[in-house]
Amino acid sequence: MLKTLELEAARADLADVDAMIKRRSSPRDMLARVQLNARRESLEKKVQELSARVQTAAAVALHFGGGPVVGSHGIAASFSSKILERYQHLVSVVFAAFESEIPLKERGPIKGSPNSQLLVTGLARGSFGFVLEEGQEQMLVPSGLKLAVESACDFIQQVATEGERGLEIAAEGLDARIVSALKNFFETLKDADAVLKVVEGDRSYTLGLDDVQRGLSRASSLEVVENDVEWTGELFAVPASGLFEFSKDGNGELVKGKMAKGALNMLMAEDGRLRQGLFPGRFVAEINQKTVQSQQGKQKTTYVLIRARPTA
Amino acid sequence: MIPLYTVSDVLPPFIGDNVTVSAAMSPFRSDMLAVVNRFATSPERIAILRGLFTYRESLLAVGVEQGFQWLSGSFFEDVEKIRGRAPADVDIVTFGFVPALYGREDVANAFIEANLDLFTAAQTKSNFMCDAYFVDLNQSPESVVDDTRYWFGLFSHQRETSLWKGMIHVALDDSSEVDAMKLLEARHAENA
Repeated sequence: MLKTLELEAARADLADVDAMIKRRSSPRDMLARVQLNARRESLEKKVQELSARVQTAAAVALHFGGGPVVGSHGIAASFSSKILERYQHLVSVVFAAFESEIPLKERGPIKGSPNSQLLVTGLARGSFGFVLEEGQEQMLVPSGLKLAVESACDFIQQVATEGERGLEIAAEGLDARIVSALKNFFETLKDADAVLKVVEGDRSYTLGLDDVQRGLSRASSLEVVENDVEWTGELFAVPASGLFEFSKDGNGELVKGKMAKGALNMLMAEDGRLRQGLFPGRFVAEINQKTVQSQQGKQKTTYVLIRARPTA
Repeated sequence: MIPLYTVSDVLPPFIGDNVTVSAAMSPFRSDMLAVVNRFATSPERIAILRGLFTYRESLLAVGVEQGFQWLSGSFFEDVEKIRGRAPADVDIVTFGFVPALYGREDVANAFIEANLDLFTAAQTKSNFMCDAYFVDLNQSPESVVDDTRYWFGLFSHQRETSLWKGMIHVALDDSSEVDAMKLLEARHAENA
């Protein structure tokens, strides 16, 4: 079960028990006080345990309101199936982008799609909601799907929320497929006049009609241009952070970015340090260059080092 | 009468299409023989029911002769199907009269101290496999209502999902108790 929902329920229960204890001051309430105090102790322990628990498996609650929802009675079936499909697709695309050694190209099957499948494990009533979870037990470290769900929720919020800062942050991680999936997600919400509340991890946020419209407009106008380039120059790499800097021959332009898994494996020794004898050195680097342009004409270019070989 | 599980594999909050018919509303009035007949279906469940009978006998031994119990929790869900495991205990709220509490305060204190194993859930779980709570019906009416509100709210639905589920009402003074225990022991022997 989603940690946030469990924690909310436990805290509400604890507040109720605290209030009941305060009401029981008569000597005849002695037995009630004994039990309620024991109950309070048990709930305090539960809240502490839940607060400390790190959610390592993917879990998210999507609550919908507005057009497709009839009070807390129900939600339009056609909208439900479509929006869940759109959300799952977004998560699958983000998951595949994480799993790939190189950024996804525009066409082709999504790698690892079955591993990115979420299950609808429950309904969260109030405004009508679905709880989606990963189909396996909690692990010691966050799963790839958990990270993908976290990022998908980040992207939705960053693209839809007022202000440019969120969009700038999102641009670093977006690619053409993710933008397309975001557009479809927002479009489905907009077509149904739906509003959305997302509960994931320790955070929750709400998107009203204006936010949905903003998300759709931005996702529709975001342009992602990607190409792979080969440059010769000096490479500086920090394996621990997965970051690199590259000074191009000729104009000495310095570009910075993340290293793909293949590049990391090539440059790093088993002890996690840079391979001996390679650095400092000159390299021929294959770099993915991605530019995300928004409707206001703002551009953000990011670089990923795909592979590098020392010059002869 | 104990209804069948819903599609969510829990007891329903009511049955039929007329919610004003009290016999069709949770908590569903039943007896221990029906409970054993329906739910003594595995060694784990038999063990929990044996604990429940022992708990009931223990309450009787300290003077709780009148009252009733609401039985709830994962014991009354198809938890083997939902979670792939047997239930660990049964949730109970006992509504009863405890004569010893209504003398002097020091007598009442001593009574509670001497019988904490019956009135604290951690101990009832450990001793009887019952997550048990007690509502003293000799409290003020306001306190009885307050307690009932809380325990009914807690055991009648899942807070995280708002799924409503039914409970079972059995009397403390249950005429089927002897037959129920015999049936339970027969099931225990079959499963041994």
